[in-house]
Amino acid sequence: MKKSTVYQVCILLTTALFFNLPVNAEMAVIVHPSNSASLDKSVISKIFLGKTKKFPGGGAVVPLNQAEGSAPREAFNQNVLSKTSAQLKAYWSKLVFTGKGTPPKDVSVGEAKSLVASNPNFIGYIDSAEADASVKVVMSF
Amino acid sequence: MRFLRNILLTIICTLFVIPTSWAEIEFAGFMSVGGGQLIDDDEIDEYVGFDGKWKSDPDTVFALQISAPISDRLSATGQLVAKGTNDYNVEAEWAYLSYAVNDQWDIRAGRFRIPFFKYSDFIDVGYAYPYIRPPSEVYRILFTNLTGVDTLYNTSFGDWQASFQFYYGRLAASVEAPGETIEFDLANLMGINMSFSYDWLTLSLSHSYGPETTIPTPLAFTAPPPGAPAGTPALFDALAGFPTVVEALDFNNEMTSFTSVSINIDYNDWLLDAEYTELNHRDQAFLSSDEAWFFMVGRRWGDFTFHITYDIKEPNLRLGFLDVIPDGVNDQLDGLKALIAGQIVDQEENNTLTFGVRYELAAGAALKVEYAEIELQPFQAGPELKGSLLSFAVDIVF
Repeated sequence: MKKSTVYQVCILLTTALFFNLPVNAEMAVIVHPSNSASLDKSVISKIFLGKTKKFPGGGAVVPLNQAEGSAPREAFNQNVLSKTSAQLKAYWSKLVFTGKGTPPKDVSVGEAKSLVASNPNFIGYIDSAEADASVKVVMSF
Repeated sequence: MRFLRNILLTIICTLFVIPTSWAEIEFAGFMSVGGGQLIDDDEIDEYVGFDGKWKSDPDTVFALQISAPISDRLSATGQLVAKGTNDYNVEAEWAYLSYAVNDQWDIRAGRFRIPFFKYSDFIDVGYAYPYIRPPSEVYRILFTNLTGVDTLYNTSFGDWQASFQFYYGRLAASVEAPGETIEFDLANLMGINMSFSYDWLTLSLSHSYGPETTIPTPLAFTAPPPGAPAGTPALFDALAGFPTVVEALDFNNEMTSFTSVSINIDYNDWLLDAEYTELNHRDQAFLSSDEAWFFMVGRRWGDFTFHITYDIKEPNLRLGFLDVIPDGVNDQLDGLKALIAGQIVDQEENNTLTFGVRYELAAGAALKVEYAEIELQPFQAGPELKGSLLSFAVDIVF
């Protein structure tokens, strides 16, 4: 095999690898523009796991999840909550069937931004590219 | 039971009365379909409901939960469960009204699970844990629910979450024994359940206390043995000269308590789960006090979770009360003493070693397969009995 052919194969393989990587668009955790609570990954996790029902500033918080199995939901589970969807399902089943908690409501991709823009109690996540002045980005992942 | 029925009726009526336009009634449910067989049953005939032929009932469960918000703070919840171990009769395992005093504090009234063990609350929800069934030598208490009130309080200290539950109520249940139905009654049963968790670590402590536990004295103690010659005295009559022995055998208004301490670790896909429990019947000898614990190590690889679990139960025998009966007075007394001692020490020291795997079929569905090696050691005498159980289950939540 000629040296140049080896290089070509290498380049081909590398290119293929890159193109096969899942293209994870950057996501943004969003709140109402008037919400001044300081939110980091740990606080956001607590909110979405039902461990706290208030923003650090004191206002009631209502987390909005995206549809189960959707790409944004999977990315959020993995990057922010650091759990698989099966682990989360098991986590919530312990709480739901003992009356100790209910999982966040699911909303559609289109609804997340408009709901958060309309209510200071809501927190959700969307594709960063969709974020505009109607919402405030508190974290990207 | 009537109280329970009334609560259920109230909840069901409430569900119908509230216009659906402003009540968001939530349905959730879970199901397990299991099956198993003792594959090495020469010595053990039966274990956790399984025997030498393939059987599906012991681990098969279906449940539906209905929750209805009545107002911002008040809600009604009922969980109807049909279990193979109960001939699939539908029972309300949970039926309670819940009042949220604030974000951290709930008060509930009705029927709910007694948090004896770490897994008590969700013991029917197979999907919630790695096992097909929690280690059965440890999870040995027959009665699981009571009717009463409880409060739940959640708080956090820095990165630690803490939850506290206090409960109070009455547990009345019956058990079928040969020739009679024995009605258990644990009045004024109360307890506390605490849990502290930090990301990958959870520590729990539960203590229950039943100061007025009553189990009617078995007929065999107060009546002559069936078919005995006329004039044969009942056990208690024969023991009339030894009131402390009668007292120790009698189970009326006795103090009984149960304690559980557990640790649960889920760190970098390594799992560790352990629980120590102690059942204590004070001043009572006929029902054995005992202790039991389990230890599990597991590892998650993608959709697979493997675990090895060891559990053991040891009776905590108290025969000292028999010392007041002198030996060698007459054959009848000696025989009586041996008979009582024999009844009480007819307890087993059991242990099982389980190898299990759980596979996530989908979010909300898991397949589990377990192989368990069982050793039953009759306490008094006799050889150790060995067997093995192969079982599987599919657990789902919806």
